[in-house]
Amino acid sequence: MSHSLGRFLGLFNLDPGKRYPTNLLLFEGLRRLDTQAIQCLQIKCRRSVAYLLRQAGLSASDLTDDVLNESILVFLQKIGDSSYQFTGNAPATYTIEIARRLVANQTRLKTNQPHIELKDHHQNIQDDSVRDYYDNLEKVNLIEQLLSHLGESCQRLIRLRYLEGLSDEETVAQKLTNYHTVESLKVKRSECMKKLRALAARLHNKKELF
Amino acid sequence: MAYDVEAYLNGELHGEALDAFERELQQNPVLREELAQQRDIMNALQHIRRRERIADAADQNRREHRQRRFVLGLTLLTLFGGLVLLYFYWIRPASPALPFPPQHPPVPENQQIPPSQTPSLTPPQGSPPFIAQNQLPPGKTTEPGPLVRGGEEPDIDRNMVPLFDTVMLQSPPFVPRGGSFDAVAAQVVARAYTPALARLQKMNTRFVQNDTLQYLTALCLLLQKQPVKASAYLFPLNRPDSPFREETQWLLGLDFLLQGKRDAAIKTLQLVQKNTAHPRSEAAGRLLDKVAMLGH
Repeated sequence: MSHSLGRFLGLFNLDPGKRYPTNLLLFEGLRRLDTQAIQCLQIKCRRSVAYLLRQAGLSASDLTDDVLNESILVFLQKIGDSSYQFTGNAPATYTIEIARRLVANQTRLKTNQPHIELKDHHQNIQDDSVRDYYDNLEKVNLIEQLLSHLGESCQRLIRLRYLEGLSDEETVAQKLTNYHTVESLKVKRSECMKKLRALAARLHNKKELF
Repeated sequence: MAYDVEAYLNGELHGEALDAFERELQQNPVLREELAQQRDIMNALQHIRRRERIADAADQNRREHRQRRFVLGLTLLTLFGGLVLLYFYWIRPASPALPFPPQHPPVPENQQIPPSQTPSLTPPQGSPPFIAQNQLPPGKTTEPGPLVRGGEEPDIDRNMVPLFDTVMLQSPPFVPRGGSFDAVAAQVVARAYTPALARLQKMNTRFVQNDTLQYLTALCLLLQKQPVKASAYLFPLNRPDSPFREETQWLLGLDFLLQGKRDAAIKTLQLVQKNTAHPRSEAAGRLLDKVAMLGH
């Protein structure tokens, strides 16, 4: 009841900045991958990204969400691998800078070299984070495919730990799987990971991706 | 010996196990390869996790945006409705109260419907002329004063009240509906005559007076056993172009009965009975029989 009331009252909190009043709080929220922090960043950057796209002569309505979400993904990746260190600056400013580079990519792709691969094309941008992002995309897509080849039980174990972000203790306590101890859960997941590595290695021999 | 590369990357190896793993890592190229693969997989999983969180946040934003728009729309609608109500109930000047009894200008001759075109409303040839306002007994006027809500008029014929109630039960009066009159009609059907009259009085001051308003007021008054006041509203409705003429003739008969004007009532009811096209013709015949019985 109180949760619903809070959500309803939250509707009137139109200024997203009020949810994270300081840059540090927003950065901490992003580091924890809080949905609300990401929402806040999306709201703060959306207008600027649309403006960038309009300036670049691209259809803002179609691309804004895509470019915005990709920029945030790159930014979260940089926070995750510690290549971005908080120095008091606004995370939104950094995200918009990333978006500017992605928009430049899109512009090149659309106008000059429509046939060029993103992977090759971003070399001129001189930004490792954007390049890493595109390099990583193929691996991510591959892992997504491989995950679907695993059994349902394995998929669930990996999803709970690495996609939902639940610790083994939480998984066991909430009885989300058939495993009643942390040890048995770890052993089973380790087996699943081995299976996933084996599938990846098999593909490696074919495609030389890993 | 099996080494858990996942536990190592998750930082779950400590002490001797960690040392042993790192020693093995330096000597075993296969383990190094496995570690690199595992790191790639975990990085990819992290990437998927971030992407899912961003998609969740975007969905949540869209949902909240829709909810905000709904709340805003609802607020604007409520405000608009409030303003409309404010206008109709407080700001719009009410039209002056209509005089009582209602005054209708006589229908010009060129606008009157010739009797030949209204066969169902015209009494047969040779029948006595219909009772008109100027046929009221001398000394009786149709000015009953302001509307009295509730209570019967003191000088009604009490002997006729049970007969009147029975007739009203057996042949319920016509209650017009539609538009603003729905609420009044519902109140009349529920026998809530006093609130119905109050509502009609309010409509009288707010809207242009019309035949339906007159008819409903007359009906409420009659059902409240106030026949004198009711007749003041019924007489103007007994004109050729009135949509309620037939029902008015029937109600006038009942009205005269309640007033104790038995002769006028019989004359009116006979007129209704003789007109076979009149929807109340049969009911008028039955009522006349009962009146005759009571008279003996």
